[in-house]
Amino acid sequence: MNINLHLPILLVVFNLGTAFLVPLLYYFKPKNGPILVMISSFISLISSILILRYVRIYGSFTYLLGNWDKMVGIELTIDYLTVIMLVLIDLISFLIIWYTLAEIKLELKTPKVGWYLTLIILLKASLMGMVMSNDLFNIFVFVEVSLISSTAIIAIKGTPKALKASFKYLMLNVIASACILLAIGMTYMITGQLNLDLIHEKLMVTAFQYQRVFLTSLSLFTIGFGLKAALFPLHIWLPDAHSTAPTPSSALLSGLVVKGYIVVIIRIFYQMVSIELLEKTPMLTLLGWLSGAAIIIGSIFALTQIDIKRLLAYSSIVQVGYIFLGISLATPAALTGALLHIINHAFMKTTLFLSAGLIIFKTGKRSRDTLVGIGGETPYSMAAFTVASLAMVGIPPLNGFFSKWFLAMGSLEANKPIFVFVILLSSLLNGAYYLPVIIRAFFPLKEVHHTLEPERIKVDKLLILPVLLLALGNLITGLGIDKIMIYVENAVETLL
Amino acid sequence: MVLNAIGAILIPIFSLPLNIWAFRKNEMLRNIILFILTSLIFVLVLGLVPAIKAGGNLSLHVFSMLSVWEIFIQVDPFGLLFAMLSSGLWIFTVLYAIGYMKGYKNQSRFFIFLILSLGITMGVAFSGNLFTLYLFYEILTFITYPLVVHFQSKEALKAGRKYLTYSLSGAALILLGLILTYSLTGSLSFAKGGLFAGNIVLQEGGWVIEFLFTLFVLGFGVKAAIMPLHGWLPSAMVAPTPVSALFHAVAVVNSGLFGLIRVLYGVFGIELLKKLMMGKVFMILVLGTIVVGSAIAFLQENLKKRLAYSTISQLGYITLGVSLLNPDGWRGGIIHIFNHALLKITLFFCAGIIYKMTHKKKISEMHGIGKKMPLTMTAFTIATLGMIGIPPSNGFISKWYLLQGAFKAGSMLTIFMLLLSALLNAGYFFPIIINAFFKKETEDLHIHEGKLEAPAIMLIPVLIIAISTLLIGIWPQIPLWLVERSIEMMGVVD
Repeated sequence: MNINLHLPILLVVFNLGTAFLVPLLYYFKPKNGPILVMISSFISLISSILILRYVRIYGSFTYLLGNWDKMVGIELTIDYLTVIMLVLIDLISFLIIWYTLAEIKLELKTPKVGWYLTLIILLKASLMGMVMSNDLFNIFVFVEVSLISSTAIIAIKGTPKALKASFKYLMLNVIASACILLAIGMTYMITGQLNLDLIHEKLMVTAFQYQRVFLTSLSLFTIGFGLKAALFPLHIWLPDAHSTAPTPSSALLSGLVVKGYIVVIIRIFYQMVSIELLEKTPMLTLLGWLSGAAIIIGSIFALTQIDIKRLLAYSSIVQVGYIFLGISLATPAALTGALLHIINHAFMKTTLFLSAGLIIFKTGKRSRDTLVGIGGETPYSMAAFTVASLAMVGIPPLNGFFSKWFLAMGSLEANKPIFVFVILLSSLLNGAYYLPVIIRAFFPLKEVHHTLEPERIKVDKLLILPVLLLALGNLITGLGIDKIMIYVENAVETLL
Repeated sequence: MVLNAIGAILIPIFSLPLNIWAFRKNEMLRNIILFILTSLIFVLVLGLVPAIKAGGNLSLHVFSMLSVWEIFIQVDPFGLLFAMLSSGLWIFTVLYAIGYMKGYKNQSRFFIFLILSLGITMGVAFSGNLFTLYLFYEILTFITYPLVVHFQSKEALKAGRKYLTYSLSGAALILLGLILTYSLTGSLSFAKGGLFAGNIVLQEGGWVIEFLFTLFVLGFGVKAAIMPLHGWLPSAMVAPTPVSALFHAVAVVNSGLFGLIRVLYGVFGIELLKKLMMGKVFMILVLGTIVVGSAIAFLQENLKKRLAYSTISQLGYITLGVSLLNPDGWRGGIIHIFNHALLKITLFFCAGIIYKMTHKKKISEMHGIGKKMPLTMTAFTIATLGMIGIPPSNGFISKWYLLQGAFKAGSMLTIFMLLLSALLNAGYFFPIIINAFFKKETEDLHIHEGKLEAPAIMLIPVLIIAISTLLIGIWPQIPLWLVERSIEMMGVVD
């Protein structure tokens, strides 16, 4: 028996287990809580790196849960796409949890801290499950788990604003879930299968017999997951949800959760439906225009934002647009760009949310106009913010440049040069809404002194380290693109 | 030997922690470090001269990402000319700035970024492929931004915004050019005779090449201040004068020109350029820049603004020489990069001294100032002679070659424009000098007893550079030798 083959499911089970142990831990031994949570996320990180190594050496594999046949049982697929996502989820959430442990004590009351950590780890486990499941039903289960936990981490503060945002989030996402369920039902109707690969085999025949059902289910999938991933114009819930939630939640939702849904949509498009069938439908063209609109309109919305977290939230819509653009162009370079941007955006946006959160945490100010001259008081968090913003604008050798390059190459490959202009224009717009924040912070018109709470400055030393590590991650994922490309290339190869 | 070049790029960047620590600690220590660092870089660059003379291949593949984006450092005569010029003038700028910035706030930030931008400029000079050039060119924008907005006044921030907008838009066009170049040729390197020359389909020209040419010209043209794209340059005058001097003479506008020339011969190749339709449009644009720039300079009351428009027109000379596409034109253009840098930095330093000592910005208030500041105004006069192109100043040499190039190209319009612009130059520079020396002093100047010269640390750099312009006018061999080698390397022939 090879333990490596069992590792992926053990990873999910381990995280689910930790999630439910944390409140107990916080109830009985609140002092040891943080360190144990850190250890458990570190173990999780190590195991996902082990899985990555295993796949790198022996290639991708599938795992049948309880050895049931894949017709009836649960199948996990551990391919390059999965391992990229597993390591990404673990790495980013490790740093976010680190940040959370230091900050959340001052934001929430003690019993709530345990619950909050439960929710975060639960969310992480559900994302892991989502990216490795190979059948629709299992995906749906994990989507629901993640829906519940993300709703709760938005609402955790209990303020009216947070409750309103989380209710909005819940309602729209329930609609999305309903669409997805309907789509799963329709797919089952015409294929009699739930396993993605088995559906694919059947679909090659039945899609032509039941064209309308096929198209409807495909659209429902796109709407459902598009809504969850905040694809324009289904993004309306995102700015509220991502800006009112506590900082770690915003970072997690923007950096990782959205990506989980996008990976599922990639699986549905390229693995279940396959590119040959997809090209016969207008879906990809439609998606291309929608993402183009997302990129431009999202940027314009972001330009008008005063609240810095809302600005970041709108920027997420733009970046999701980039990823969907890559998916819709369906050429190797474009898909590479999309996968790279999933990774890069996770780093960039987490850095931005955490550093902005840290500034808000220390100064209590969150409007773009009051954060003047903040660079003097919070030089490190502002430096992290600057690095990630420049990555967003696409300045080499930071990571954002590379994903944009591949997307642009993909647009040329797909013979749609208009999207190259869209990408470049939005890079400029990125600059137009990120750079003023930095300029105001470092080069104020008048000297401004911000009063910082002494209690919060003490925590600051613990908080700044994960943020700086994330900022460094933007540079490393840029310079180390060779290493990342090994996995991304393989993932793209299996998808196309 | 190529390590010298790497050192020139990296030492200013890696000395950052030392600088941050030392600059805040002690002013004397700061001044010593500044002088040592800049001199060290200059010596390193000078150390490359023998190697270039020997004709060896000086290049290093530093770092490669997916073998698409490669950081490739290469020393060639053209790059060396630019590097020598900038690192040499940087020493004087730093000395001058030490005097000029006395009494202003945030000095350590100013000098930290001043040193950082030296490293980045060296990077531009020694970049051996398109990606490296783009990388340093883009970083240069961000690194020089804090220098532009140094005073953090409303005007400065506005100018900074303008600078960023123009430069980043230009960089986006260059990036688009890079993407297209890569998708057409699968490479981002400079090649002898042009990257496109290896490709038979592209060699024919066609709209894609025309488009690419436009992209690169517009992209680099922003920093090179070609006429409709020059808007940021006059407004960036709100920066401290050493920065203006640096922008105009050494770092920023020159890196635009430098990048443009690099791309023209390294990517397009001279043969292909001769076929392009857009080349003619470009030339008309440049001629317009020369004349209109001079004409606007005429109207400026503010001395620094007048100098700014003079820069725009002088940069036109350089691009004009390049667009003539014959060896003499290129010779004139490239030598004018060198000559104009020396002349313009002198003029700006003089303007800065006048402002620092008397707080005068307007030309009309400077009557009789020559009597109070004889040395400063003498330097100013020498530089003016060069601007107009009167021998024995070095400006004459550039004009000589440019005129020859124009004759060879048979373009009467160009010759006419060159002469007209020389006339205009004389028209807006001579009154300043005549008024300064021969008009009666204004009242507030008269109050001062005795001379009003600047402290030695500001005055000496100015005098050295002013005298060197004359010396180079008489013995132009050293820069001309590098120019000859550059022309040879670029493959510009009749």
